[in-house]
Amino acid sequence: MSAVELRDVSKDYGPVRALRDVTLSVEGGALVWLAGANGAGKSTLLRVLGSLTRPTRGRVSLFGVDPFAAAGAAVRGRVGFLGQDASLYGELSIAENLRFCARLRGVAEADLHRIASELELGPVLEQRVRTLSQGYRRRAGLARALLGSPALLLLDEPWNGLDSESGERLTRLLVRLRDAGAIVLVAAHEASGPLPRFDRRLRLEAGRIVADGAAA
Amino acid sequence: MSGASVARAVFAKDLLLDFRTRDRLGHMAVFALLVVALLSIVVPASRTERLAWSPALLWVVLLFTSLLGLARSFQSETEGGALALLVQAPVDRGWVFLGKAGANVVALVGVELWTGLLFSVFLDVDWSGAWRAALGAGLLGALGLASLGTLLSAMSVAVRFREFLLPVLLFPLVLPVLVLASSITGAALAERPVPALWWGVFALYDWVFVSLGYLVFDYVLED
Amino acid sequence: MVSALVTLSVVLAAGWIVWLSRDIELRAGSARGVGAAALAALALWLGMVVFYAPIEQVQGIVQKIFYVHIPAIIPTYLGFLLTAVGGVGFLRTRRESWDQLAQSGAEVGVIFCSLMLIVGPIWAKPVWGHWWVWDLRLTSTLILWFIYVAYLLLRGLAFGSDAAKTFTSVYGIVGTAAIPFVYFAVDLAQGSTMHPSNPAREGLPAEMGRTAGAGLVAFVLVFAWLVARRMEVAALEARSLEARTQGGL
Repeated sequence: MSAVELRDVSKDYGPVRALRDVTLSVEGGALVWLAGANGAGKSTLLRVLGSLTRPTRGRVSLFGVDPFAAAGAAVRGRVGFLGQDASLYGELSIAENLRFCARLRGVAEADLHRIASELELGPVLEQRVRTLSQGYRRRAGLARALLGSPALLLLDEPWNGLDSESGERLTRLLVRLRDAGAIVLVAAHEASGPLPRFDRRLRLEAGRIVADGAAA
Repeated sequence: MSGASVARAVFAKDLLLDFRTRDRLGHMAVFALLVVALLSIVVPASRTERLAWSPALLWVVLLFTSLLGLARSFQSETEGGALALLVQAPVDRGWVFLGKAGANVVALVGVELWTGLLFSVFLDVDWSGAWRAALGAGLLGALGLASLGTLLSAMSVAVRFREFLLPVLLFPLVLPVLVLASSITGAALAERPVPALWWGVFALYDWVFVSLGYLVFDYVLED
Repeated sequence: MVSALVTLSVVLAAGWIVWLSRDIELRAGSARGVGAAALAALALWLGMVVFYAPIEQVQGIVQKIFYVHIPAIIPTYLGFLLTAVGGVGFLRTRRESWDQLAQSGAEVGVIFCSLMLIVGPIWAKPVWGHWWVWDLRLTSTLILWFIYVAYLLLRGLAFGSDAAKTFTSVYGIVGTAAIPFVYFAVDLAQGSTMHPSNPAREGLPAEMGRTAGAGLVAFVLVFAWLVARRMEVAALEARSLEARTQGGL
């Protein structure tokens, strides 16, 4: 049983089939690139893996557990997710946001400070998210996703809105996480920015995986 | 980390946001003020008539005012894309429901106290003999409204015409709250004893819908 | 004897419907038999209403509307029961058939509920002089009707997606759970009622009881048959949607 397994997963939104019979397995310690045009299903795949939305058909297994089953709730704590939104409360400060998420996931406060300093959020920690620039917001969202050292990290276009220095820092961070044994799945366009050397590339087209192999 | 700590975190976060932004509470307070002021002009001035109508009017006003607040139970989540945080919480999402509904109960009780004050100022309602029963009815009423309101609000987040849909979904189900609360309040104001049966049914109602909310929320919460 | 027959028919109908929903496409054929039985029962009931039941002294011939109003009660409640059962079933198993059961129960139930609301005033006007009377049964039925309509609206507005089925399952459950409380509340609010007290308690003349009983059995059969047909259509709709989604982009 692989760490992450999808078997014949389909996701329908009414008459639109966003994911079509996706079967996939990933072992620990991998940096995976989810490539594909807009509308190919990358975001939907990440959302299903992040247990944000149930698949219409098929089975999902994270570390041997079905995250959608009642008994599988705990495994959601091992997944970090950064979608197209930063998923933060605008009227709370970054620190308050991180503290809330830490409490939701049972993560110690010390971890919070470690991540915040690693992403150089120190100067803006106490500012309300609503007042911050896009770049800071994305970094704050990333910090939130990294809380608790997730074993599975799902990122949807993480380089969007980041300046080149932050982008490079992100790339190095992802490589470090992979080396530490995490599974990092990143949806990104080729022209996104300083992409790392991925171990594996999955190409999606019209909801199907059309290519799956070592990244060129 | 437990479900209860998640519920507490959600509860605290919601109250913090409510007090920091004040728009939800403020809108409810202003709305109640406007409606009660209008009522005081329109309702017959005789003391006995006001006494007869006040309990029902009070709870109708509370119902509409509460709707304003309940409809925005998940507003902070939808604005920042933060609903995902609640969906991905690594516990049974029923605990998220309890936290949110709890915060709504606090908001609703605040609104009830404010509206009760308005009624005594504008409609000459004298709470001195009846305040204990009225408070009890208020608490039970807030629980009932908050539990169904939070559940249905979560369901109407992703739906078209949600401002229209929430009252359509909610009102028939909370009719018992309206009737029980106004009956208890009315009896207390008229200095009549409140039958234990009414308290019992009210408490049962709350227990049923808080439990149901907790049990089904895990299925409901999806981004 | 009559009430035993009615209870039996209700239980059998409910059981048959649930059995049917487990594999509607295969089992839909059995609905033909029920349809025939329903037709026969309706014919019998109509015959009894016109020829067998006596003309009531006080209310006159108008009273015979009673034989439409009363039988419609049970299908109205059965519809709610199906939305709740289907709702629980869908939430726990995520199988379409449960959701189809709930949807069919709601759509057919609302028909009988509307029937009650239409017939009630037709009866009320000549007898009490008002088109609408705010009494226990009629008011509660009105609230039930609101719950049904809300359920169907929710379904319609949620794009028919997976989420829509979850939401309506939940609403079916809480809506049905609210019914006893609604009854209690309306009763409390009314104080006294203008509705004739329950004839069964008053000791209805035997012919009236039997005619009403025949109506109840007939309506339950019609309800069951309609639900079966509706489930068949729902299954076909699902199949066609699947084919479109599968073949399309």
